[in-house]
Amino acid sequence: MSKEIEELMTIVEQEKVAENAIEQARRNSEETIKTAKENANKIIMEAKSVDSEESQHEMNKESEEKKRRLQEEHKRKLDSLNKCAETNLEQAVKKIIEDVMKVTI
Amino acid sequence: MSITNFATHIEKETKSEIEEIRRKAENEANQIVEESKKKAQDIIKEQKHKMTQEKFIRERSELAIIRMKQNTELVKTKSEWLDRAFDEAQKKLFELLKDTNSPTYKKFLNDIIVEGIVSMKGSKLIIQSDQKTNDLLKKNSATITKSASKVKGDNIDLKFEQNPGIRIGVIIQSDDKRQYYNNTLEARLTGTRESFSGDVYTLLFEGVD
Repeated sequence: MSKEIEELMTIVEQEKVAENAIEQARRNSEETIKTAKENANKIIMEAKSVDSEESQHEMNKESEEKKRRLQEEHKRKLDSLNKCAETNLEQAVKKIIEDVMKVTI
Repeated sequence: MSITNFATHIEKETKSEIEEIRRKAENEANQIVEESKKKAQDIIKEQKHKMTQEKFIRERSELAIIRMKQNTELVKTKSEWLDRAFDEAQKKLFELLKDTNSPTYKKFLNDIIVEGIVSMKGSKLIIQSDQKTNDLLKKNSATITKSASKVKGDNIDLKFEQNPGIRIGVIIQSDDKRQYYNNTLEARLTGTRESFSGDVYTLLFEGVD
């Protein structure tokens, strides 16, 4: 074999190695993108499945607080009403008696 | 170009192309992940918004139910106080008017009879009452007749009848028994309750904030 042919064969061999390397790089690239897509999908699925337990808990806490304040205010109103009625009962009874005894002629 | 140079060139170009493929893939991969993160944030934001809206509606309805129950309780409590005031007034009135010989009872009796007579048509009337009051009325019939005639401006003719169903007070009937005026204590209490409850209510809860 002449030297020139030997060199050409070496180059052809090198080209083949290069092509394989590039092909491998493309496969790696596809793999990288595939992994990225899987990760992206996982991120979205996680977001969808987040039931925001913490926010839910926080909101429930706020809601319970509002209800508690409402009950407290109601209790205060009721106490005030009872106290007031207790104080005014005698006067009210007196007025009823006066009205029953009053005649219109 | 020599063979050696050519081989170096191939090697260099290959490395460059591989590097380019790797760089592009990494960029694309990063972009995919970044976009998914942004999308995930939007999803979470949207879910939170939806949850807030749902919570707002649920909370508003729960609070409305609580307020409604509380208002019912307030109305019930007020009504109970009103009942109590009338019950106590009734007890005191029965106590006050139990003695038919007391001046208070005699005045009350005279007043309610005259009131009833004035409200009735005609001059021939029957006064129904319990036994004790009936005895008292018969005893004082002249005075009562005179007093009623004076107020009515007519000569009144009164008959007295016993009615065991009456505790305190009188029922006045026309002679033909077609008209009657119930002036018993119970009837007067009922009348006061109908016409005067608003005033009692105001009086009882004056000063409530």
